[in-house]
Amino acid sequence: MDFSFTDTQVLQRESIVEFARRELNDKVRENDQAGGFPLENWRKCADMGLLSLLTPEIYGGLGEDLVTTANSLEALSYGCEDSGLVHAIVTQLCCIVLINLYGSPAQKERYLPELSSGGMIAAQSITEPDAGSDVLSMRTRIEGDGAGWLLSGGKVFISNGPLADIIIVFARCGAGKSAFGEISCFLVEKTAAGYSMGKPLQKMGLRTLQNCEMFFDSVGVGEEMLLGKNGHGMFIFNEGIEWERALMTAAHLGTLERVLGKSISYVKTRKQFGKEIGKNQSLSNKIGTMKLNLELGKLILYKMAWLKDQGKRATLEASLGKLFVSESLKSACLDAIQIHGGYGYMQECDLERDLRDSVAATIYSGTSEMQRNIIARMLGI
Amino acid sequence: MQDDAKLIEFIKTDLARGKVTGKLGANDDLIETEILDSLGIMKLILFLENNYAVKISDEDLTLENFTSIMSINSLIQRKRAAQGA
Ligand SMILES: Cc1cc2nc3c(=O)[nH]c(=O)nc-3n(C[C@H](O)[C@H](O)[C@H](O)COP(=O)(O)OP(=O)(O)OC[C@H]3O[C@@H](n4cnc5c(N)ncnc54)[C@H](O)[C@@H]3O)c2cc1C
Repeated sequence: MDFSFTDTQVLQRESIVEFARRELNDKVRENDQAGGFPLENWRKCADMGLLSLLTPEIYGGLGEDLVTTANSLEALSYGCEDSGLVHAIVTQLCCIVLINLYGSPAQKERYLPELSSGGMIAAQSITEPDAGSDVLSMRTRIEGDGAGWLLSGGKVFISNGPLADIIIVFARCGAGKSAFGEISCFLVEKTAAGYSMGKPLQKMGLRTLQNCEMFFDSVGVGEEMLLGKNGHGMFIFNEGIEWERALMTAAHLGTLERVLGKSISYVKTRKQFGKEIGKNQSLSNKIGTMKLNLELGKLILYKMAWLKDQGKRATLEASLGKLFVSESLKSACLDAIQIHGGYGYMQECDLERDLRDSVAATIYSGTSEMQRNIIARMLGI
Repeated sequence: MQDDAKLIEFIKTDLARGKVTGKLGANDDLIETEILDSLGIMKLILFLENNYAVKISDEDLTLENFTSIMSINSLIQRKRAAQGA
């Protein structure tokens, strides 16, 4: 067993952290308050190669494995304080993964280079108003035959939705109650007739990330837009969600490490009762827990990344990692605010934003309760 | 036969979780009876790959291959034959 990163991975990490600190943290607080998407920073990330990490070289990407990609995303969210932007990037990578795994050669040629250069933005459209955790009970329907389908229904909370040029939509293609063979996956371009979206949703956190409702009113979809095989949506979803949980976990770990670093610096400089506040075990214990969770989170993250790189399934590991790291991040943000006292509660400290951002991590990509259900199921309970 | 018993035991204890009270027949529909759901299929694939030394590919993921114990068994036999096991 080898726990070390290669020299290239170490250098990559350093250069991404340096890039993120230098280029991406300029107006994070203002952007959070205004709620707009930082398009210029998105472009900088694309130029840095962050959108093309998982894209094969023949489509203009870096063709990295998941271990390297996770390491890069950790570095990005460690250096970049705009978690909304990082989430948008992770969403783009998830879409790239799905198109790369299941797309036809024509689909890959059309979309992968553009998505990897940031010229096109993608979204995954799965959740519906009545199908959240029970997502495979979705009602958005795709009807017709191979000559042409019509897509009808509505989706909600879709990240990157308001900006998306291309949308990966999951819809029910059969009449049965099971998800088996009854769900298909399609690509829909923003210009498709019958497609529309709601206004960007106002959120508690991750405000630079853009989310919206989507409406499909008999959108015509040709066979060339089917992603994977007809009726294979459930398998595509299952595979995609493992990648998504790994990528999100990497991003959450970077933030956790940043919050930890900030807390350590503060307890070493802030003095009360004539001594550094970190000398009080009630605070240093909180920091110890953050460090413990960071290290344990890395172990499970890189195990799942390694499994995926071996072409193996990582359903259990993905749920363990997603659950543990998202909950650890939320606790770490709360503890960090406590450690910073009144200053921690002020916007200028930025920790309140990290906390607001972190709450969503325990909801998207499957809530913490659902991760616990999956873990129990995987253990045969 | 022994393979069958192992598979049936796994389906009854790990997947059906109380949904099968009597005997599980070789032709019983695992999907209609909701024994096999979206998470169950992931568990089943892992079980097959770990216990029968087969690799289930995307091509194998069809409804027909997983509707019953019989169809799962014949998938395993076909995979093994193809792998030369
Ligand atoms: C910031 C953000 C970004 C998102 N981005 C996307 C996106 O890009 N694409 C997309 O398709 N979706 C996206 N979502 C949607 C997200 O995946 C869903 O919100 C999530 O799956 C939960 O569904 P829900 O909101 O309908 O909650 P519900 O499913 O209604 O859950 C409500 C509560 O009930 C609990 N619960 C439900 N069922 C069970 C159960 N069986 N056992 C125990 N507890 C249960 C849940 O854990 C939760 O606490 C995003 C959400 C957020 C917040």
